[in-house]
Amino acid sequence: MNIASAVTSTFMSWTDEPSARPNRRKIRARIGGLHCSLCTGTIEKALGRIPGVDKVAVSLTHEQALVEYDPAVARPEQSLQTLRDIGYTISDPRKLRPFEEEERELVHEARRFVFAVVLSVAAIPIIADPAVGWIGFLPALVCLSLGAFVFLVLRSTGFLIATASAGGLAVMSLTLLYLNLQGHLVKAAPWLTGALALVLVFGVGKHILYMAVQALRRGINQHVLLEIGAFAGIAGGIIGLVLGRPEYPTAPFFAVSVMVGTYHIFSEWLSLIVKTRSSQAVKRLLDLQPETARVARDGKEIELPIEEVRIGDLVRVRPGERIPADGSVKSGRSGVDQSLVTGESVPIEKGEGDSVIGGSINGTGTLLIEVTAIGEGSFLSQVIRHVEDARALKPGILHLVDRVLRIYTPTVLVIAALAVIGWLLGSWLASGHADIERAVFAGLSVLVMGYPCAVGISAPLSIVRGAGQAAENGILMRTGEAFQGFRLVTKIVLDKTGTLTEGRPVVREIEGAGPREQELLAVAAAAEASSEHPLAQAVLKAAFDRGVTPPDVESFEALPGKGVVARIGGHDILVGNPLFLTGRGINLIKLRPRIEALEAAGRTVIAVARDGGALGAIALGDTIRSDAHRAVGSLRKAGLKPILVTGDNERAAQWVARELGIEEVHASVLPQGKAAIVQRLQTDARVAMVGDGINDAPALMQADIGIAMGGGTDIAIESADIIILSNRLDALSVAREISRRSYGKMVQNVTLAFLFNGIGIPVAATGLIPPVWAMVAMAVSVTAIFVNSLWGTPRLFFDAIRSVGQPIVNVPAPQIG
Amino acid sequence: MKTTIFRIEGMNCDGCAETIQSLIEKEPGVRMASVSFNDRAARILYDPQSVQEGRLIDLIQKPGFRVVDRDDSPR
Repeated sequence: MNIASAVTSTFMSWTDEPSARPNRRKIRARIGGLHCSLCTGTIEKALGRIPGVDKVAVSLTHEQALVEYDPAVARPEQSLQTLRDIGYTISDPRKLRPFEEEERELVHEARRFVFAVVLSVAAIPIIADPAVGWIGFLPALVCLSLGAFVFLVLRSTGFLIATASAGGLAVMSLTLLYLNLQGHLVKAAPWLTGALALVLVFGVGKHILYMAVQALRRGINQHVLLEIGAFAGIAGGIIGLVLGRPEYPTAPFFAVSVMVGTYHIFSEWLSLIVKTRSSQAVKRLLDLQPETARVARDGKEIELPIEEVRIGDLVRVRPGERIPADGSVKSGRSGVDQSLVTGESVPIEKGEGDSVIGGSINGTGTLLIEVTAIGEGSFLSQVIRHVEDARALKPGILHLVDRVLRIYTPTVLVIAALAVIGWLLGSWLASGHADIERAVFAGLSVLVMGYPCAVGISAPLSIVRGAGQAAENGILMRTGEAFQGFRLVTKIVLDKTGTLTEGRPVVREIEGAGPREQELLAVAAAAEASSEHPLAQAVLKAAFDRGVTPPDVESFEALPGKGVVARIGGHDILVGNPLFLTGRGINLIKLRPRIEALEAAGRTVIAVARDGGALGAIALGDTIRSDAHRAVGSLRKAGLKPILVTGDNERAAQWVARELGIEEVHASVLPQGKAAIVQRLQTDARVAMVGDGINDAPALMQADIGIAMGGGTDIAIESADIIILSNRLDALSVAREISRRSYGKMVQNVTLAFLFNGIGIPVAATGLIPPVWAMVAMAVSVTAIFVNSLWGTPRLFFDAIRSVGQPIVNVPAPQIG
Repeated sequence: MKTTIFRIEGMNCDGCAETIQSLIEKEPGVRMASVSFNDRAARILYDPQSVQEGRLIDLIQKPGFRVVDRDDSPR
């Protein structure tokens, strides 16, 4: 059941709704144009300044804002206008982008990149200067690598096209190089490269220019830094054209603009691939079938989309189906598994008049249900509301690159200014007149050198690597938070049912009042054999596992909710809950203390009697997953404090906590309560939450890192940052380790990215080096980052690029168990 | 209700055992089944009124395994 389809879809670009606090209202809006984690702070500040606005929460990952305001003072239009004024767009918060749209955007971005490469590969040979010696080889290397990328990008459209394009590039570049070395381009070079630079900055890269201009209204980000570099290059080139001196590096200035633009477009495209791939991987896990319900109207049963079901409709639910809406049972009987909704692990018998919750799974009976709530009023919609609230309230993580840029960008600008002032002052002091030309040259050199193009690829590349390693371990790392945040987590909240336990009952103890265990099991299994109730199945399984063959049953009658009356081998057999047996005149006195003790331990007990005498009792309960002990142990060893949270009762929760050595336990928690607990824990720690049920979804969203089990419900998977496809608990530690390592890689990459430029900037500030050195720094740092990120695992990168435009390949189906 | 152990030849790994198990479990009348590669055997609890032993042997042999022996009354 996905979020988009479960909420009624009246289109509006934002929603306005009552808040939990009195006299307050809430605006929920999806924001377009968020580029980095600094934006969230900018928006929160800008909106927070509006009188009457109490609370603003912005989520970068989900591109959403939640604004709480006092309707007596503020108007929602004002907040939204402010958002638009500082350069963001607003769209419907409930829209899922279709696959085709995402793919189209990827192909579009790839085309841009190919075009930019063509411009770069044309510019490089034009400015190649054999006089500079070995440095002359670097441009050749850059050309080669760019050509290889074009081949990779176009490979999916066909081998011939890819080969021809790469070949064409080579011919073009060699021709230009030949012309250059023959000296035919001396006059034309500045004009040619100038044209290339203009086409790139204002043509191919005009969307970046647009974003940079928008960003300027609210501060400085990567795009602004890029445009500063690119425009510095163009300015340097134009000055060269005006001066018209042969020794002035006019063409290299222009060429640097082309290069930085190309690398920036490349990094944009790479991040887009990373983002799209993970969102598609998640979509593949979801059951996007439209939900339908079998509605009985006018004496006929018809399949209707769930949106068309009205309150008061009678809906037929067959065995094993999901109950489509909240309602009350009109007729029929069945055990209903509500564990995904409430966390209670044993199915609950429902009969006429009982209420059922939409989203729970019907057992073996057929039910006719009268719908009592639909849409906004239903249980599921309430959960979705809580998820949405948690989404916006989720604490943000300032991304590493943004953190560095916040300091780096102003530094570059200051150094550029200092270089200009220094040269002006210095030359004036030394010779009496200021050397304006030299000063401007130094300033521009700093700006050109200042754009760390490799920084854009440093995060996506380490994510490509990390995501690949995660996938090999059956883990889907979905968001940037998953990589950058998991390592910071110190508390991990674990859901009980289905996460730490199997989520289905098994026979745990057998209490014989005389006969041997096997005989007791044989009789009970025989009596229960015809029932498909999970408890009956568990008894049969226990008998089978012990090699017991249940005897044949002569007659059999099931009394739903109570037990079974059967005749086996000439004996009258009663199997069922102890109250039912006592009611039938069976004396359970001898078993009473044991039964009470077992029930106190959270077990479900069924008693067995033969010919009026008690035979014994069988205790059933959920079991702890076999890997839970080790998983909790290794989490603790990694320094995480495990906390158990469950919708199930205190007894069952305490038992699991004791077994696993978990100290902090929260039992009988309502769905919205889980998110509140996570929020409380977040006051002094980064918190991860692990769960699988509908009731876990808000908490998964609220947590810094939400982790869903692959067999979990759609809404849990959609709310999570990390999805454990293999369903194995040890994957938790593995995911954390991958997060730690990926972050390490990211730090290395970002360091490498800034290192070369960092060395280059002070050198450039002297005004003594030609701008071609900026290209050298670029080429070296990009290469270094590629090698560092993909050493040993280049396949991960090639696979990611090749997957563009390819039909979706199915991931191995998650094991459910 | 009846439990029968079938000795099977031709299994190469746990995967083969799983294949057989899922085939058998789908058959109406089969209540429980466990197939072990280590023991080279399938243990099946079934209702002889709705499924015959011959049918179970056919099921196992269809993918190319061979039932070489059976034991009708273990324990």
